[in-house]
Amino acid sequence: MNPVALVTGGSRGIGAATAIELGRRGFDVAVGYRTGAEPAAKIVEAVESFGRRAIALKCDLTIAEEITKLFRVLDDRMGSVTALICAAGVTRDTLLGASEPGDFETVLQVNFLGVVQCCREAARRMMAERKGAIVTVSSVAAQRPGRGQSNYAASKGAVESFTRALAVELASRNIRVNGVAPGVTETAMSETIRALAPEEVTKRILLRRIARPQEIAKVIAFLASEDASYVTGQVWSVDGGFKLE
Amino acid sequence: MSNAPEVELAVREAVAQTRSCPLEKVQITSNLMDDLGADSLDFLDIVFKIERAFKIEITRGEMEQAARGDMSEEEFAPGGVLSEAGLQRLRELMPEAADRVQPGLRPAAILRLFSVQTFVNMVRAKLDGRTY
Repeated sequence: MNPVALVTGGSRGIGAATAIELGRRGFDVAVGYRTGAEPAAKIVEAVESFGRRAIALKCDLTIAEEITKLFRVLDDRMGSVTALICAAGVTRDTLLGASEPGDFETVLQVNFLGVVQCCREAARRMMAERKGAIVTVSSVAAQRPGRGQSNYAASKGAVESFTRALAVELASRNIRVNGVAPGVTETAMSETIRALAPEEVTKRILLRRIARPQEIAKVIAFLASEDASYVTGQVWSVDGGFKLE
Repeated sequence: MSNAPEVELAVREAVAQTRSCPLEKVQITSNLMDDLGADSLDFLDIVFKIERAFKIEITRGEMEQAARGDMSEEEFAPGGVLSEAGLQRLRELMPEAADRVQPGLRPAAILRLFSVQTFVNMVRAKLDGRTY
């Protein structure tokens, strides 16, 4: 039996690149998506091209019942999850004074509470199997936020603390929990900031370029794999040296 | 699967798997923590295995509510210690642990009273549609 990975937000950006990388590394992959059925189907094809099983599963991470159902369907169709990658995320960048309460609620619901609920479901299954790996996706904004990112930065800060706390809780069951904090990456999510001030952005990065999603995906897939068998409770910055000079 | 021997066997198997010990070591009267060395994470594991085996759901809220019954938190454990009425309720609920239900008991220590029988009773009540 191949290991089974679930990648939330797997139809695009870092999640999509991670799903493909996991397929390349020998995982069967469930691609979680909310609206991108077509791109999700393409990621499924890409994973299948490695000779692995892949399915696309629709789920709105703001609805707890849908998350519960997602894992049950995954149980039935692929078996118990071995690796969970929480890559789904949203932004509602806005200055706090100009924001609506709903901006914070949506961002926290998807970026944090969605992660919590997915980890709860995955952890119970992994505990029964006495093995598993969870990789959360934070952001450089958790530690070095920009203007207008209070909701996003807060959600990612919560994810980082949650990641470490969960690692403590699950270590005795041979379940590793780690996070990756990507810098600015070539994805739709960072399109606005990259378009508004491309030079300003790259000036802050030691490597003087933004990341390709595959560069983040390789680190996530490594942490999800047995190659990282002695790594837990860590949040790794994969940001090209953001704001280090 | 509300048949008593079947429920007993399935619960014992869930406990044995969780504690990685032989089935023979898990007796119906075994106390989860004191006899079998279970910790709080093991409880979660056992509950999940039981939920899957019997296609039922046992939430933490239900377990707490089950211990209190109709009593309010204040009636059950005023000042964080079980009242005489609370102790009596617990003795009725867990007759297998009645001799260990003593004055001074705190709600957090109720887990220490759980035996294999406690889980069996809980599952049977669920399967029969009764409130445990």
